[in-house]
Amino acid sequence: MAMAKHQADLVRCSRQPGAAVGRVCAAHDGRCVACDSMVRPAAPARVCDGCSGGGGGHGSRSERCLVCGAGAGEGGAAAVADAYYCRSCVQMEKDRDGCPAVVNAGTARRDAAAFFFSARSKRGGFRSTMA
Amino acid sequence: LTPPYNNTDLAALLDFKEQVKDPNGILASNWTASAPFCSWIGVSCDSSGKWVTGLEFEDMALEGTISPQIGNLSFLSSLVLSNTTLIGPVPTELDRLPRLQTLVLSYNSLSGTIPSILGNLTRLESLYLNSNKFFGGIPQELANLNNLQILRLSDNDLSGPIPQGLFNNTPNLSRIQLGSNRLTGAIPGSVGSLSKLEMLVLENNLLSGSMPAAIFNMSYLQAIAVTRNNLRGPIPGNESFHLPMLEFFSLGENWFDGPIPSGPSKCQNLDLFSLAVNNFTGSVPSWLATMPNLTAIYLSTNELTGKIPVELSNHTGLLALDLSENNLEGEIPPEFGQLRNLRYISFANNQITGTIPESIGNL
Repeated sequence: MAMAKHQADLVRCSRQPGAAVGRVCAAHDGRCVACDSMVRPAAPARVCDGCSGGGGGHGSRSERCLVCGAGAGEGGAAAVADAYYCRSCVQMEKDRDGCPAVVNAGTARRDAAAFFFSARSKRGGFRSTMA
Repeated sequence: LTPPYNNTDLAALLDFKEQVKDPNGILASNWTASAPFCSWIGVSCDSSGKWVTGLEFEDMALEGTISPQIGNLSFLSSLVLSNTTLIGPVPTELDRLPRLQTLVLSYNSLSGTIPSILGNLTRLESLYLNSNKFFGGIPQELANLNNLQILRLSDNDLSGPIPQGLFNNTPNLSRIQLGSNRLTGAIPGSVGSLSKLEMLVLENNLLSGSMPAAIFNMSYLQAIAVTRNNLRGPIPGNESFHLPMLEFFSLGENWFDGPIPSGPSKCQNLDLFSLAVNNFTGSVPSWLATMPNLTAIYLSTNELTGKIPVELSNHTGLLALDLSENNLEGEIPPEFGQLRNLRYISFANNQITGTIPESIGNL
């Protein structure tokens, strides 16, 4: 059981970030884009022009979660918050490792987002606030 | 009076200019004969104004390749070409820079192997090659850099083992960052002899074996990050633990086993404690509640048993607590409603019984 939760290797965009801050969906809101930590947000996660909606196939800034890709041409999920790096990742300079957008959003993270919305939709109220 | 020039340095700079594309025309407009080269952007010289001592560009698109003639800047002490969109190899001619103290080539698309001649730069204090496309192994010759303070090779495609002798003669190292590569083999035991080490980042590699016990007895170490490797074995017990400056303890996504020892309880500066996705057994330590600066506890996906320690509810500075995916039993203590600063709590996929306390609604 212990190793079942290893996530597939994520491939990050890694192109030079621009000025735009990346966005994440509700499932990934509050988590560091580099390590998933939920504490001490320290720096906004800036993305490249392509991933911010300036071009390429990554969808527009307002729609796509840069961690799981939710919202890129799909119904339901959409980016709702700014992405950030946590304090420890800033200290380890991960915030300088290029655009953090995941280009091969794996089933693990996408499934996590799907579960989140599935659970919420059963209650009805949350989805209505996304309208 | 016009400062004395030397044609060798001038020629080297002009060739550097020739080898880069300079897409924004910055060098084209600034590096001209109408001004002495010591006043050119990115160039600094010695007090006599004759020799180039620094060539430094950061976050500025240059494109193109690094000119081998940089090796002719014999008084160069600082070469910084960070986030400048360079490609190609690191010139082996850099071995003609005996005074080089700072070499920063981060955040580019440089490729090829890391040249072993870098080991000849014995005055080097900072070596940043991170976030490029280097492949192959880490050269054994880097062990000769006995003045090195910072070694950052992370975020490349390096493979093979970390040379076992790499840290045998580098007593001044304060930061080792080799994460996000494909390094294999064991962590060199000599890491533990680095008395000034502050940061050890080896995460996201394929390292195996156990953690050298000496790593848990280092006076200045602030961060241990070995997440996502294939490391095994227990964490040393209480008597071997001495990490008074430790803030980040991240051993997640490995194969560590055994009980969680009480040694980390002496790390009074600890902020993040992550052992998630391992094979740890035994109970969740109640001493976690005694850590004055601890904000995040991640112990999910292990083999932990017993009850959730009610003592944790006294730690009101806690921001995140994840005990999911274990074999915990008993009930959720209602006292957890006291954790008013909590942003995340998870007890999912355990053997917990009873009801969710009403006090949880206070969170």
